[in-house]
Amino acid sequence: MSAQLLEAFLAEARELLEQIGTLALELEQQGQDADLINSLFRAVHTLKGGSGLFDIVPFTQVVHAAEDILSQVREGQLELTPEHMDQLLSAMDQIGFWLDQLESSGTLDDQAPAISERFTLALRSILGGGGDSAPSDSAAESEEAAPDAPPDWLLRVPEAKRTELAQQGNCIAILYTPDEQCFFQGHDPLLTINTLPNLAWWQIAAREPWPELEAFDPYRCVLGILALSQAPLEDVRHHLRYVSDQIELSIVAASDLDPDATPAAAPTVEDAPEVSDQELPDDQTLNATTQLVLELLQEQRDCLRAQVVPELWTGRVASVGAVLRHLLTVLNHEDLIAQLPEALAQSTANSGQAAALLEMINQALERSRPPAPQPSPEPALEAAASAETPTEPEPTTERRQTQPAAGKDDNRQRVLKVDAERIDTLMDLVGELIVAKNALPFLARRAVEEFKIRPLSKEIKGHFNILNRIAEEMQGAVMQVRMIPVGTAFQRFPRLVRDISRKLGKQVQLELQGEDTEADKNVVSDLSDPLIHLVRNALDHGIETPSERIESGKPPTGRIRIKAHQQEDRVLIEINDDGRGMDPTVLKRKAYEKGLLTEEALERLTDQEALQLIFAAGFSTAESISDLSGRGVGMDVVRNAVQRASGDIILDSTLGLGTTVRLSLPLSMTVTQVMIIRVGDEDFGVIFDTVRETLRLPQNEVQRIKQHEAIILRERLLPLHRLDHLLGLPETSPQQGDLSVLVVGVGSTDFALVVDDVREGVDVILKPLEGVMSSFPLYAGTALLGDGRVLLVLNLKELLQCL
Amino acid sequence: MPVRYLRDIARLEGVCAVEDAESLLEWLHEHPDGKLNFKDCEHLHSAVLQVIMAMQPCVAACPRAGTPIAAVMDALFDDADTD
Repeated sequence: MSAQLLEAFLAEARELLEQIGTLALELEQQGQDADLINSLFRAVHTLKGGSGLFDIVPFTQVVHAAEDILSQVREGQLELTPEHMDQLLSAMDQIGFWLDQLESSGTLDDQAPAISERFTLALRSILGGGGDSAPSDSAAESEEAAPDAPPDWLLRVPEAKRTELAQQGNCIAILYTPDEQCFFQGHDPLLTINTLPNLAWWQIAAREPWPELEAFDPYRCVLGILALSQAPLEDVRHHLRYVSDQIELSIVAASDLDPDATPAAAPTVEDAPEVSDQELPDDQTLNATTQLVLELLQEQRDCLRAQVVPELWTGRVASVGAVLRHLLTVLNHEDLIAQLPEALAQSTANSGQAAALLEMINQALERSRPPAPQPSPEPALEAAASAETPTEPEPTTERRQTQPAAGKDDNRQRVLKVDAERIDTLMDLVGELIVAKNALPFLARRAVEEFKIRPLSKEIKGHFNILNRIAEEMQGAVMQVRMIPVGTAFQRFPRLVRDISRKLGKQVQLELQGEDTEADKNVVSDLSDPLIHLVRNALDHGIETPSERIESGKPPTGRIRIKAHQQEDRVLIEINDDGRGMDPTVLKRKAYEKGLLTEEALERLTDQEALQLIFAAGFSTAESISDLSGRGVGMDVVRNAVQRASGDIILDSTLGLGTTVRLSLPLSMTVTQVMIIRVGDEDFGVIFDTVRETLRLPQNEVQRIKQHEAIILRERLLPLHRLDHLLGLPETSPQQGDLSVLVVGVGSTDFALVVDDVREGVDVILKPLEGVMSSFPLYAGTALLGDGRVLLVLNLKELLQCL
Repeated sequence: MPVRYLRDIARLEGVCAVEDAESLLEWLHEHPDGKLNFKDCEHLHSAVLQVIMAMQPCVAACPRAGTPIAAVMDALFDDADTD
């Protein structure tokens, strides 16, 4: 199993699964919509086709069962109930699980066959009784080994072969119409058929005329294969299991094979666009030579009708002419021989047009026919010949509709799928470029200070500006590439809401808004888990049961609205429910009971602040722990996840009216603005967003409250801390003169920090701490400065907790 | 080396894989009189066969009887031996 192929399959399969999930839910909401069913069927069908490439039979079986169900739904034989949908969706979940397994280990585990069995049985039990219209083998399964009506093309099998086969009992007729894209899926139809067990006879032909040389695509399979096998049905089916959707199997009774039993006018003659082999009089009165000659005549006719490139036409006509001359001599048709040169000349002149020759052949056939049952219907010969080759298998058109690949080619040029890792590499490179670029101002300064060449310094600065602009544009462009719609994080919600509300017996309507708001892919993926948790919470704790809702005068169906929009350089996401809301006094009491708050703290808390208590670790308001949201991990996990993505989370609730959770996240996390501050001899970074303001303050404005220092700023008392103390650095704060003060805010807490100096702000790529340093949560990360120094960026939230 | 292109003969040897279809098509395009030698051919990928069916080149040597490719030729019967 090629790793690359598997990778491609996994990516495609995940996409399909997502599509299947969305479509299934839409289908459930909108009822039996034919388009939806078709798309759903096609997605499942493609998934099945892809899985056939790998040795993952349990996987394929489950998908196949799902496909059969959808096929019946499509035929209108089955109506999907929510219970059916549950089955179908849980089967798809299993498929998703298996995909993960395939990705990690490259194969399915030992339990897969048993699990597959269970799912397949469950799905098959949905299938209605009228299974005969299900595609491919499910139909055959129900019929077991009873012979079918013989396929039309059986008459193509040479008589001798048929007689021979008939003596050996029933056989299986296989019509194999390979998918046009089958070469790309690794199929070799020829090999598949050639290795068929007990292959008795086969024929291969193009199912459409060969196109012009220029247009001919050798990798688009247009072959059709007819085959007869005498192996048991099971063996044949097993052999063809990976292409089962491209196969039509039928069991042919020995009596149908025997040419003597074949009625002279086969039932298909009228329907067939062409008269083919059966017009050969299989009459005993004809002797063997005449029989052969007639066969040869027909061959010549087929040969003339077959498509050919213009260059070869003359040669073909000449060779047909030579054969005809001999055949006519054997048949003693002197008059026709006389006409031959003229017909040849005419046919040679018009490429592709052999009307005269064909007419002659028909005449010859006509004359040799003993009282023919029917004159050969030949008038529209050329037209028909150019339209279709005689071996065209019928169902090609129908098959092609089920091909999802049709539109793909068009998209390929416009949308490029790139491995996220490559984009990350590109981003890293841009980051390095920015750092390298930042080195230039240092160089310019050195040019003046050390080498005293002011003009050079100017020139360097000029180049820096150009480079700066390009680097910034490039950064913007790469960030644009990394932007994905926030909606991708919403995709799982419709399913989630459906499942949970069904489980809880609540009626919930989910509204999604602003799904196309874009944010960096890391932000979106970091968002997805906290969001799920919040939606779960809203469903579990927020929305009431229909009866409770009616009692409180609300409509029985609850509403959860998820809204995303962009505000400056942040994405705001709101999860709003119209459920029972939260009571701040209850929250306060709980927090006190759990020992999260002291009594005095409780008194000081505003209602708004009390609501935020829900984010405290170890806080859970649900009376009973349900399996949905009360798993011990509470809202604190959500808050941590959001904060890890440098986001904020705020909760707002009105008792009885509902709860709103607001998330605010940066659009992109790749480049961070930090402010450089100096403490003693060291520089540190402070993330710009947390800096409220910087000020210089006379020493005497520092107030002392017991052993704590504080300042009053615009009538607000702010605790003051000295950073050198906090970091354990030697005391450097000047005893005289003004203090450099940085007012910072973490969450809703503001405080002031005394530093030695406030420097410039820079754009940096913040790298998380690694190795030994990763155990110091005091630092948010490191960044490389333009002059090559490493800057430690402070984690103020952690700092706050040390106070 | 499943297909060896000589001056006006292409020798198909061993198992001709799907990738050979394109080069064979090109070669046949450039050598309209090119002949194919199947003597040492064991199997043709369907895509290669498709090219041969579409281009109908002359056959310099038939495959050995009993090989899978001989069966393919039988299944095709009339396409390869016209002159």
